[in-house]
Amino acid sequence: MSLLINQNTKILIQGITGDKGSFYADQMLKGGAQIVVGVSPGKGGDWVLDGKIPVFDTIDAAVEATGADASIVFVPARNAYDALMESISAEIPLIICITGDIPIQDILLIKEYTKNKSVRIIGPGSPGMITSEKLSIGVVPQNISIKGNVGVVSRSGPLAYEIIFELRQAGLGISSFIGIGNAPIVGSDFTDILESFEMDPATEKILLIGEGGTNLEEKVAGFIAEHITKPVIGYVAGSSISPEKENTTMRTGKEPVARSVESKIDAFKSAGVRIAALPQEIPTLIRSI
Amino acid sequence: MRLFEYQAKGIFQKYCILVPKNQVTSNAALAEQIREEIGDEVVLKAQVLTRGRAKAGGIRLIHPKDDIASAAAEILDLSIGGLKVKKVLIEEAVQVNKQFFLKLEVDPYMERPVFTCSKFEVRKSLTNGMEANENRIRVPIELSVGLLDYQIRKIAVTLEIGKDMWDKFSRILFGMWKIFRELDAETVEINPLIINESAEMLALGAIIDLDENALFRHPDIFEKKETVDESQLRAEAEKFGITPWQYDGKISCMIDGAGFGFAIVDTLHSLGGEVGILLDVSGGAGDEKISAGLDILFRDKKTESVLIAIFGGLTCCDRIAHGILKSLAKNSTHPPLVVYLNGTHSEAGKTLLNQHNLIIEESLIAAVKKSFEIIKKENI
Repeated sequence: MSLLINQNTKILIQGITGDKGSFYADQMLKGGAQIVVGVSPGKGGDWVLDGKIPVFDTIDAAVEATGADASIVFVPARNAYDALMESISAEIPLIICITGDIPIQDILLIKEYTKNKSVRIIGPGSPGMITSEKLSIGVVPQNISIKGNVGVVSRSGPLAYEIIFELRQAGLGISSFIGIGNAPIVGSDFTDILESFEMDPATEKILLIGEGGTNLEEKVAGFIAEHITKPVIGYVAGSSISPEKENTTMRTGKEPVARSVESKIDAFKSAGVRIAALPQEIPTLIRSI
Repeated sequence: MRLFEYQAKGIFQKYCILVPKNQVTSNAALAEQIREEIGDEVVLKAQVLTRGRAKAGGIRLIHPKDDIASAAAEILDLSIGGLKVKKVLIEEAVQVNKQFFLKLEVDPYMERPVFTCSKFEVRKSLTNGMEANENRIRVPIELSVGLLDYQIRKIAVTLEIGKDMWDKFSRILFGMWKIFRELDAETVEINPLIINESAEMLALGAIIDLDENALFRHPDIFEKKETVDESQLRAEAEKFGITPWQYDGKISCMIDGAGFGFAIVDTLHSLGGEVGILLDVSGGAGDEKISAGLDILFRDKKTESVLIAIFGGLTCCDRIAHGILKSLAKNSTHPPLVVYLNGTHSEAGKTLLNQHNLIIEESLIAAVKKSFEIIKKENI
């Protein structure tokens, strides 16, 4: 049983001939993931990764030839809208968009288009995930976790890798990890993932890793209070910074990061989430419940 | 990316939203000449991207007999919120009969663009505060459908805008919508929109925030991007695609990902240490970026200890190591450097660094502690 993806999932890579696409496709393949096909418009007919993986010009042709049922998107940001619309229209059930920095209006249009399709989007800006068989998907480094019962969800990658690694050092394992991405609006938010963790028999405890900016954390807090019965542990990075020290608001038109951290922690606390003040406190906190 | 008021007003005009007659200048000596073209009574507005312009003396009403040149010179001498005023907008003073607030932005909860509109009580003077009354409405728009006439009527009715003004009002809202869509704006705001004594609708205040991620679609705007009076740190870092933060401490860090960086700041703080400069090199950094970032930290006078902490995912640690070596070759003297590498290609990265005299730690907490101990030793 695995959340979203497992070793039988046939994975398509969009942008497989680019630097990042080929590097991480190779890494995933070596790690045991079933990469079956790539799509790179204009490169159809090529074979990549030591001649093992065929490349197609279109998603439809790639899916027809291989039965791919998940896509991982590595294309440059300026091509991401088109690439995602193509895989959504082909109704690939799971689309993980590693590409970040996509224009917000593109994301909105993509989400509107997805509404009547049976498609789940993770990202944009997702680092990927770790499956219950410890497969690293996307750009997540290999072999950083051991198997256990903690479901981990975070926005960005590196902080989650570090925390998952520290859990391993402490002898604690994870059921799955999912990186939802760093954009203010994402395909699947914390709420969607927590809903999956709630239903996942392998997950007994949930670790939610947040950070400043956006309001993805505030959005999930009310949902946790009402719908999640499993214990939730939260860490939001940046609580030691005082908002007065930031002066970036007007330049970008956005809230200071530190002020948003306060609001996220408050929202979590009122939802009954147990808060770790530091990453190093997380293993003890997980053990205590 | 926020545009200056004068830039936003220029865009408004292109989209058929009327604004008071205006001209921008950086030269106070030209102010008198500009006034002659614009009108007897004008308002001077400092062009600076920060709050509190009026309070700081950055907005001034100039009467016909006032010396406009010296007033403009005074404004151009100001620094508001740490930012130097480089330009002043000279704008026709207008009679205000009614005023409104209109804002179009993406609401992250609804995941839609939303018009927020309200009606203000008339202000007596420029410097008086204003109060919103009960006439406030929020109208979400479906992006693929666009703004519809009935939505505009709903707003007009709530704001008690007379039917004789509906055409004009409609042109303004459609103008805002078109700016939002065509320029990939994050925010389009008119505050206030006013009706003057000749029943014209004018945008007195203008805010446009553009989506930096969409600038590839608007190379013309990108070229015209004016460098704000930033700290030198920001200017230098952003050249290499690095996001910087600056705080008061002596321990400066280079990290991959803001969340990871702020977790290190939290840890440091719990030990009693404070971060100085924090550089985020996330997004698959190459050796150029790393070495440029390290140069910044090595040359910073307040920095007494440097920590590089990278958990490689999208960033490969061997590239990081190459970047470190490049910078070390350039900077013969530098503050002590502590390195924590983990994740993608971290073994290769550490092997490259092992031949050099660096402090390499195997855990993040050990690395943070080490960089803090260095500071303590230096200060004994």
